Amino acid sequence: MNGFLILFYFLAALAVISATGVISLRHPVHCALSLVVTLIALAGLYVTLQADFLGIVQVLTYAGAILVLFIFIIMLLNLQDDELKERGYGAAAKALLAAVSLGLFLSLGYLVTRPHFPISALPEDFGSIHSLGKALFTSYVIPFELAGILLTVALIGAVLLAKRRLELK
Amino acid sequence: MLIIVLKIIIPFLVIMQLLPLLIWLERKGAAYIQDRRGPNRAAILGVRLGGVVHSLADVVKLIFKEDIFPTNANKFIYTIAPFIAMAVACVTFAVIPWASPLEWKGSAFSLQAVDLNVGILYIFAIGSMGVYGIMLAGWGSNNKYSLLGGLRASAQMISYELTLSLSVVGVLIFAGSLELNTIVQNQGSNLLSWNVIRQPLGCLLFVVSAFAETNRLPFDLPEAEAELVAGYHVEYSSLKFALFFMAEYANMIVASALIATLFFGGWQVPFVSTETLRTYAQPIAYYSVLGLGLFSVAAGWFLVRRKHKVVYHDARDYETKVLGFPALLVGLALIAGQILYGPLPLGETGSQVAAAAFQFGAFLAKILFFCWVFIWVRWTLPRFRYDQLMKLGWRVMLPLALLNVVVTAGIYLWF
Repeated sequence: MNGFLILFYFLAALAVISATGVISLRHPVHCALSLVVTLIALAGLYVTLQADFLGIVQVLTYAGAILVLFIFIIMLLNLQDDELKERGYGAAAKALLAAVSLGLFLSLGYLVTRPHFPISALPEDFGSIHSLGKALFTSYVIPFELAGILLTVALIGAVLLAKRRLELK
Repeated sequence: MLIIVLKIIIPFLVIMQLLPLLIWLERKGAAYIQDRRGPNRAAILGVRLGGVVHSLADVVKLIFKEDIFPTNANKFIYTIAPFIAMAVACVTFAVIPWASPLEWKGSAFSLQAVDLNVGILYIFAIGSMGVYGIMLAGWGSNNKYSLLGGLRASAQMISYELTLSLSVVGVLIFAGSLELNTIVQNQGSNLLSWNVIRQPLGCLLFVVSAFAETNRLPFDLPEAEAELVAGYHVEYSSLKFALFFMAEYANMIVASALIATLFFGGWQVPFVSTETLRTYAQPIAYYSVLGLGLFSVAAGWFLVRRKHKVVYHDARDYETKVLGFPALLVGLALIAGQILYGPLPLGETGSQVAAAAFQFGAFLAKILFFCWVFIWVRWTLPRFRYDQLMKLGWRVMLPLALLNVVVTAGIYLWF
């Protein structure tokens, strides 16, 4: 077994275990921390697939910024133990959720194992920021700019919402 | 394999050796800025080295202190937080180049642990993990002051991370690469082509946000002792506290190394290019060893000749002699060796290694200088208020950083 395979199994196991932690741990801070571990493990998987940039950006934005804000909010709420009750779902809801998850899992598994994805030799500079930048600003410039506009709109909306509340006070 | 392990371990050891030195520098610097003497009591057989030995006494104290767990603290998170803080600080060093790559048997041998294609982004990604150490310490201690410290830390570090990353964009435009080694090589050895001259605003913004990211004064709100006792590490004791303490200084070293690499030419020796260093490696090595010998003799002579004062009535009275005589002898031996054997032939590899050693020395000098700036600022400026901190970050620094990006890109495009 070569080193990359060992690394892959380690990171994949870490991702799965911590992802289970996200949904099964009781305290929201613990859940959010498990999510951080999941994201870092996924970033590691990206790096083993030679997508260095994607892996680093995953850590930088998701683990380093978005989840810090998640945890920041959860910490602000400062939940005590007695406020954390079990979420009481009925048996029917549980069965439905289980069926949906199983269906999703099976269809994903089917899709991944089918040879639908064309496999070709990777270009020399695959995953490097030069090729990524070129792709973003030539072939995919319209989706890229649209995503930028979407984010700007969301940002302005957030500022407006926050501002209106201040004025009401 | 061995080389990879060495490449990983040596930078770590360098940081570990710098830490006690920096703590000593902080204490002495603080003392002299405040008109005091600073640490000067701890001694081993009378040798105090001007207070350096005090760091050893500190280590012993921290190891033997009781390790306290606050009641209702979350044990796992409380324990893991200082480790995250320290690990993050050390891991960053993997991509920092220490000297010009050696050319050996036709292939370049880079003097950094990994030469990542996305170098600077790696540093930002790891740096953004650093906030977890402080946040989790603040939350896990189950103490309101700690929690406030943790909250402040996360808000502050996220706010200043934006400016930190944006202020580097100008540098990246000039270098055309994210690799730190390319950025250093692009700056060249001429002082006037360093990024501090080409990107003065970017440099200023980067330095200020680096202060905020390392939680050093004037931005040390997460541990503001006047309001929050000690903020996120108020409950920590013993080696866990020591880890936070070390992480702060390790972060300072990393920040200084980054400032030096990105804006002050990294390992470049001012006005002396790598080729010049390699061509004249032999005479440069000869004369610097000779100079070192002369300096050692002068320092030893100065110490030995000092008037024998009986102040303490114990071994400390003889400290100047104990330090002075070996310095004198070592200096004489170095001079004698150099004069007797003359300049030694270095060969191809030898001159490259000698040049790398000089560049490493230059880099270390720059790092220490910026560490000193960190200490200097800490004992000179008062702390910001929290709203001032946020206003500065979002209303002044961020627009300036964006302006810097636009102007730099425009200049690069049109000229």
